[in-house]
Amino acid sequence: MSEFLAFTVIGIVAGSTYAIAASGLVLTYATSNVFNIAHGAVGMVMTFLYWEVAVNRGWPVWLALPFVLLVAAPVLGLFLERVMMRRLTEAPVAISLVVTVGLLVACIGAAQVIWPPAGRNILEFFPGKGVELGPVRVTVHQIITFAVAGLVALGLYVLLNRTRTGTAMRAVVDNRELLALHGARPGLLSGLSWAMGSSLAALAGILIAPQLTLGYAELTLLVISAYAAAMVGRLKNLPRTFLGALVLGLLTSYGQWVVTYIPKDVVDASGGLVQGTRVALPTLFLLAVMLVMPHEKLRVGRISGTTLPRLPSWRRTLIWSGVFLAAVWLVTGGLSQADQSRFGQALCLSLIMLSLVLLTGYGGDVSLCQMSFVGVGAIITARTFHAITPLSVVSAFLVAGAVGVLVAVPALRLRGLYLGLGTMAVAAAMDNMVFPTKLLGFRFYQGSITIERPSLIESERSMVMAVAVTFVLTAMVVLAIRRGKYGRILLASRDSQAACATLGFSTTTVRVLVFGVSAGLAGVAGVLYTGMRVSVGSEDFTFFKSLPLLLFAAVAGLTSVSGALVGGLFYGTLPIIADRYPSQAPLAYVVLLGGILALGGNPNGLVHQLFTLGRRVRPALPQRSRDADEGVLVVAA
Amino acid sequence: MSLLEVEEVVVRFGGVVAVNGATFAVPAGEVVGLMGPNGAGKTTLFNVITGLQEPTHGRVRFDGRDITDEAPRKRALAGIGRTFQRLEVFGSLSVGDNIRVAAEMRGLDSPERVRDELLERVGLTAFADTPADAVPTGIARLTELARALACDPRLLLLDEPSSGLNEQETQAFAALVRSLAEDEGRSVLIVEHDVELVLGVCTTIHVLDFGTIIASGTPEQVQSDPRVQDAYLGADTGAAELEEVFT
Repeated sequence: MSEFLAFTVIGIVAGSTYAIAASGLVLTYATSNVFNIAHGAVGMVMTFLYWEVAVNRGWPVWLALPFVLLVAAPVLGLFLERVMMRRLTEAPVAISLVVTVGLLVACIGAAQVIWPPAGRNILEFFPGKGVELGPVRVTVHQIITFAVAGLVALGLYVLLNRTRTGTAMRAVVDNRELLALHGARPGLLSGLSWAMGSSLAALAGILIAPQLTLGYAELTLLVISAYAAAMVGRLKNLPRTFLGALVLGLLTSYGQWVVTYIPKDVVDASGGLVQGTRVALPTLFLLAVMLVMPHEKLRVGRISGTTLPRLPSWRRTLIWSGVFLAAVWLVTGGLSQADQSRFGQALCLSLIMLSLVLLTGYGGDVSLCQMSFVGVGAIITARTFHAITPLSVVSAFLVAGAVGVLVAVPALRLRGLYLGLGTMAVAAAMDNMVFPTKLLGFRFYQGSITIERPSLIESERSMVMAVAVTFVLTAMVVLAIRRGKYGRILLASRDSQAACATLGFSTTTVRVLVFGVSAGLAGVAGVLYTGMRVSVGSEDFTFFKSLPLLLFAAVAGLTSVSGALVGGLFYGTLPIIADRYPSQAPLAYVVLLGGILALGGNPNGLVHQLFTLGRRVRPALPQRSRDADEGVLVVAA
Repeated sequence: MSLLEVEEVVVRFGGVVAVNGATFAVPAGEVVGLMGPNGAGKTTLFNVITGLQEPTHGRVRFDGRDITDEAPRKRALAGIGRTFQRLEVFGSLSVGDNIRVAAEMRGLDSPERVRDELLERVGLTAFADTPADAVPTGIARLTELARALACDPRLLLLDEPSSGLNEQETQAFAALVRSLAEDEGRSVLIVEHDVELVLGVCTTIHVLDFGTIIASGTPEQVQSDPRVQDAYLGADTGAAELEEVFT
């Protein structure tokens, strides 16, 4: 009984933290229509900042806390809203998600630069103090956490329901223009909500930090728990979000409790699965919530600004393929063996990005777990064939593809954002429950796996050429799909699911299928990637590796094959550039940042922009305008 | 028996009643008009009929079968096609491919032939290869119409099809709608603000105001109905001004 009480207290306190984080997430999403996947990362940076001032510089808490929560975090939130988010309100989900992925990556990068890895700790408030609640001891920090969550709930309720500003904040997402006509300032309102969201993320981070080591990943992943809680309220409803947070906190806490009763030999025999499951409880909760969520309604209202780049003719494709292969041959000739290997790895990344062209560029769905599929392909081959053979490539395609179909099953019910975020949960679950375990993952091999190259390939250079040829062939398959019936259907279902439904076509099958094919291609890329690198570890396929992959692919251009090529080379060579030519590195990051910011206006990416520079001067076609339609109505009525 | 029967349909969005007990029917092979001021609930009714909006109350019957709880896709397969007031063209595809893909989604034998025939029929052959995102509103509306026709619907719902068309194009469009009904026996339900067009093609008109049908009848009957005059011009205005609107 006392154990039950103890775990209940832990659960309520954890739930309180989740609630604080989740309410910030809901607030920003509801007012700006942008889901901030970097919510946890912002909290992470702010928590490090709090450590910097409160611990490292020894400021008193009464100064450090307001400085972070009332100055630094709101300023950051306002800044983000102003430079990044404001233009994304109407952007396709894939784009707004990618931009916040960029923010997440930037947050982690910045934190690693400013606060290099080291052991850091944030102490509880009033350490060591507590009260006896029957048989259970409750610390003051726990009481504070719970009380703060209550205050946040109360404060948000009063703000949103009892003040003019709150009413306007609720209205801003429905119709910015209309609200502006009524004298409110939508920009200011969503700025305010981002400032508050950022503060709430910081608050959650600071409250939970004493229980975690102050790590980049742990705090960043708080977004998953927050999202799981917010999902219960469908990202809109705050009371339900608080309820969801509480249930999540209790369930994870009881889950931990249950784990303590599993016999030690079972835990050992599971090869890390039990431990991994324990860590992944919030993720599993999220997946469960997603599976029981009611069907989402078809949304009328087409997404705009997503016209694809022109499709190159077969002749052009063939010519450029030849040019590309010749260029690879020439370039690799002048490289050292180590650099040839790096170049080949970058090409492998391009190959992985091709799978995203199909899924995200054409299909409009986002995957935040593409590297997990890559890992599946690698593991399957390492387990069964140990080498790159035609059979191992096919089996990697099939197994990774099957996993992809499984991941896409929520697609039967969910669309767009929810599905994209579901893949985040899948990636996190695989990080904990598959890759590090002995039964399924890497630990079987004492941490790393190797895949032999075919005996035909003797030099590093010929391996690179093999990857390049694979890229060309895969690109042709992707282009052939785009050209054909299934490509048209894929694009149509991306453009308007409502129209597809009224034509009698269910987009579900096609979307599940494209998930499968994309995952299969990623799996094949995984085989080559591992072969190229000779040896990989479980950390090569984590959620945090999928994010920059998506980011670089999107910045270079997710809608074209050339975008995937450039994206992979850019991503693969950036560390080398930064390493060898430190003075040039900032330029590369500026290009990346500029590319992220430009995505709001041009979802086809930098490569497309470069290619179409010459074609900009097009005969001006009359633009369709909603205002014009409205005008006709008014006149006629 | 009518092909489509809408019975006592009510749609509430929170406290707002968008459709308030609308009852009407579309007989087979007839063109029926739905009129009313902005916000009267016309598009909402379309969404209820095609399954994109669940009604709070009421039933929808198609060909004698209750389809109220059926998915949009099933209704489409049963023979209901539509266009959208706020365009839902497939913007990444060309005008021709918009039609072709509809035929392909239905698994028709020769999508290319369907495409060419329909392009010709709505007069868009010249636009076949233009991206649907880049064409003017009127062209996009005709694209949606052709796309809907590719599925050979028995009932076609047209949501403000003529906005964006010029006078000449509107006349051609009216002739097309008439031929859909008279030559091919399709039923058409049309929401339209172009009074001339509605009077020219519809055999029956229902007037909607604040979600309720306030008048039904032939174009002539509806025109002279005092409730319609109130709805459009306010209670105190006379028939003379309405005449102006209607001519």
